[in-house]
Amino acid sequence: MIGRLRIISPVPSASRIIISAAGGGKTTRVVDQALASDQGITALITYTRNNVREIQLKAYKRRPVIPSHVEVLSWYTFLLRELARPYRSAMHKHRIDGIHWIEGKSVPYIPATKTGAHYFVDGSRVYSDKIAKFICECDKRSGGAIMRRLKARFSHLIIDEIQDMAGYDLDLLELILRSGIPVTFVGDHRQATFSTNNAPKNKGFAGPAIIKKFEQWKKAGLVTIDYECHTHRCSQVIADLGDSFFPLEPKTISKNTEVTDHDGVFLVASADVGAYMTAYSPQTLRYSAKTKCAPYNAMNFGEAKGLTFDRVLIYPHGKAVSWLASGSLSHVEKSAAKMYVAVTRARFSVAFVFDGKKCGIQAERWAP
Amino acid sequence: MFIQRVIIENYRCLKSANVSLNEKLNVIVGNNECGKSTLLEAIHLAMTGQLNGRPLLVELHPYLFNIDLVEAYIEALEKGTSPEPPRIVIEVYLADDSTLTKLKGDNNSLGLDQPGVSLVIELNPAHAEDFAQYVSEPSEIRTLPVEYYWIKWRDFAENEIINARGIPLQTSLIDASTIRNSAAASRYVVDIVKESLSPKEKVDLALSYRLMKDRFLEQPKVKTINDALATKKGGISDKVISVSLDTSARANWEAGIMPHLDDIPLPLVGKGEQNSVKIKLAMETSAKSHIILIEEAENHLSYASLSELIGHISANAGSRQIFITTHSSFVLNKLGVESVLLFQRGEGIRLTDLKDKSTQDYFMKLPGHDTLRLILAKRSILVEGPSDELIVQRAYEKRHGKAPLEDGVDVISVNSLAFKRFLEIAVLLKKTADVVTDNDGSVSALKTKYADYLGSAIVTIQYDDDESLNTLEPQLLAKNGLATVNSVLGQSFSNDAAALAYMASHKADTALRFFETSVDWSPPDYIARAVR
Repeated sequence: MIGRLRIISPVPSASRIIISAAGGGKTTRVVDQALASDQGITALITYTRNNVREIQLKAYKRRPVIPSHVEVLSWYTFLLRELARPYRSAMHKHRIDGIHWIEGKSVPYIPATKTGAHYFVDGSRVYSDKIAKFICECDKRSGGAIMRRLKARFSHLIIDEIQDMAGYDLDLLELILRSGIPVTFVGDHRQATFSTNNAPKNKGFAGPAIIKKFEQWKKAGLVTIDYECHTHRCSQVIADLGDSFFPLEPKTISKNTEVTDHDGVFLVASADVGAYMTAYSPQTLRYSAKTKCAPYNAMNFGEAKGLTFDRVLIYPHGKAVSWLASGSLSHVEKSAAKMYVAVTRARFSVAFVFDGKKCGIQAERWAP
Repeated sequence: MFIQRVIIENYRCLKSANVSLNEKLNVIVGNNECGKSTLLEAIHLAMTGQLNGRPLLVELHPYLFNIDLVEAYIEALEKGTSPEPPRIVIEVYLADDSTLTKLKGDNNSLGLDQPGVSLVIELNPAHAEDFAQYVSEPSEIRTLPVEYYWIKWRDFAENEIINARGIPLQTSLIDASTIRNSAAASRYVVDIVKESLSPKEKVDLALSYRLMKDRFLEQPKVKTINDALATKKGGISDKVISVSLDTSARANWEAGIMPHLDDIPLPLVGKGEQNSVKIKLAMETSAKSHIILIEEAENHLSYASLSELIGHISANAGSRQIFITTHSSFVLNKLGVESVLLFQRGEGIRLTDLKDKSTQDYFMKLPGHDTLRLILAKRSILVEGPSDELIVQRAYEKRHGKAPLEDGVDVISVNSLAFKRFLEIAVLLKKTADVVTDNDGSVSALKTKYADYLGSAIVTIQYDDDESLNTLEPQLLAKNGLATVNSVLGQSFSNDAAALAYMASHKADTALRFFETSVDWSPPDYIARAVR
């Protein structure tokens, strides 16, 4: 080997995006990866406090305590404590006491030049849709102090539910990637049912289109993208149905080979719902509170994210009814993520409440 | 990991302090009441959130605020102005270290990007109205209403510090002087012992202690006693009476275990030994104890024990940062003048701050004692030799009725070449110093020699303009006349020349006579000015 020349390919980026199919056990993997790391501190960042709790519970299943080299943080705690506060003096005179939660756009008519009013309520609480923007700007004005600190602080960032990032979050993530801190993003753009914020920035990458952003990062050499195509939850038929909403994505392979007396995709006439409920007690799911449905404690699609049920009964919204009838995806283009989430909650059976005569998808009509 | 700088505002006697510190050893010297102990207390408070061994919130009292500031505040209120309510600030700046990044940011009064901790005690805006009501009658205010105050304990990233565990540096304060009763002393040692144990050892100890208590009940004799007690049921109470040991949570091993030295319970061991054990134990405590604050290590210790202890401290310091306050020139000498931090008026001055490196070297090599004298004195009078020293001493005593040292004035005899070095240090330390010097027959040469100090507010050169009176002896003679000199010396010279010749050849003896005599004499004017 000595003296032989080798052509070395460009060093692959230390950062990766892992697109994990529904039911792929991604939380478990995320936790295992963090616990296994032994150099420096790993931050495990996820979107909501519920997710933080879920991750902590998973970690406790592995170890009696969460070791000091792993810190589990919610996305906003991470932004506030580790990024926004330490060098805020470059932008703002007062301490940032907290975050002001906002749906939609905060003070759209106050220009960024008026820093205090543009970013803050009462000068002390930063608008949730602008905190990432504040951090990017503050890092620039402090000569990169925020990123330098972050790099010294954590040896590795693992960010879960990456598909929920939007607006300036994406700019911030790119800044972090460019600063050379190894990041592992985990998520599934097919499940991008809500966003961390609603800023107009990066609108083109909202929802499942976030994959286009990932592709840009990959092109720039910032990340590699890996697909984890296994599901431990859904049977193959259900996985296929889920995949059908995103025909261009890699196909999911089911590891669930369990057989029951009622497996697959079904259509249930609204008159038969009662009987169906009695026979299989599925979890009922609906698009939103506005969807008409029988009173069986229905859960909204978005709410069901992360949850597993043996069987689900879905009340389709108008567009989904058209999709069921025609099989044409154009009807559910805008709600593909929610449909994907709804369908992939089930382990054995997915049923739609459907009274149409003609059906455009592979499904069996159920009769009591 | 070490503390680089401490900034304190309005904490007790420290109205404003800004001290930069040595990485390893800091020997803090200064006058009594200059705030040495307060400095250590403030550092400990900011690093642990504890005061007198309890959380600050419990210990918060009005006298934590600088009294001058509070008085100035009340005065301003009385004048009808609206001053800012007093607040206390303690900032501890830590040297940058990757394990401290969590504490890093630039939210500190110097705007420096480094790890650190800040503790602020200020008016809680939520109580602003109550406070306004309280101060509306300034004439009735004596102290600040601390119940309207809150404590903001944050790192330089401006995140709250919930408890001392959030700071990866452990700080121990060893202050034997404040431990008044033996229970507190042993409690304190148990704490230090506890710090030196691993978690597993602690658990083992707790478990063994509990087991021991449980077994107590199984002892046949105890059982017999309890059976006998049980028969008394009804007579005293309707319930069964028995004896046992307290196994409830509060009766943990820490409360029941007493450290022993050579099988003697610690509170019964001498105070000096206790003190020394505490210091050594804290030094032994695993590497996690990074900062050790020691109050007057010499307390209660004999010279030999002190020597041994100081040797131990310097040998075992390792990577820890150590602060020792002391009045002992011995401690100073042993630990090295280079570690000295002269603390006065809220400033910490180090010899390494001297601009002239040769002066620095000179003092580093000089036995610590003389340097310390200059440092510890309120003011000093520098003289040229033992004769001058005796005359100045006596002149002072004649003027003030007591020895200069009793007033904190030290008369230091300095080799003539070293004068300028001492003066340089005096200026650095802002220590008033008078130089008592002969004119040696040339005032212009003298003025050239001390040119740097002629206009100084700190250093005054005391000399006589009459070039014919070139040294101390002619000055004494000219001031007092032949008769007085004869009677002081117990001689009977017939003229000045004979007397001068004698005095010049018996300098030491002459000075000693002047020092001891009961005959009244007057010091030359330039000496009188120095002893003012």
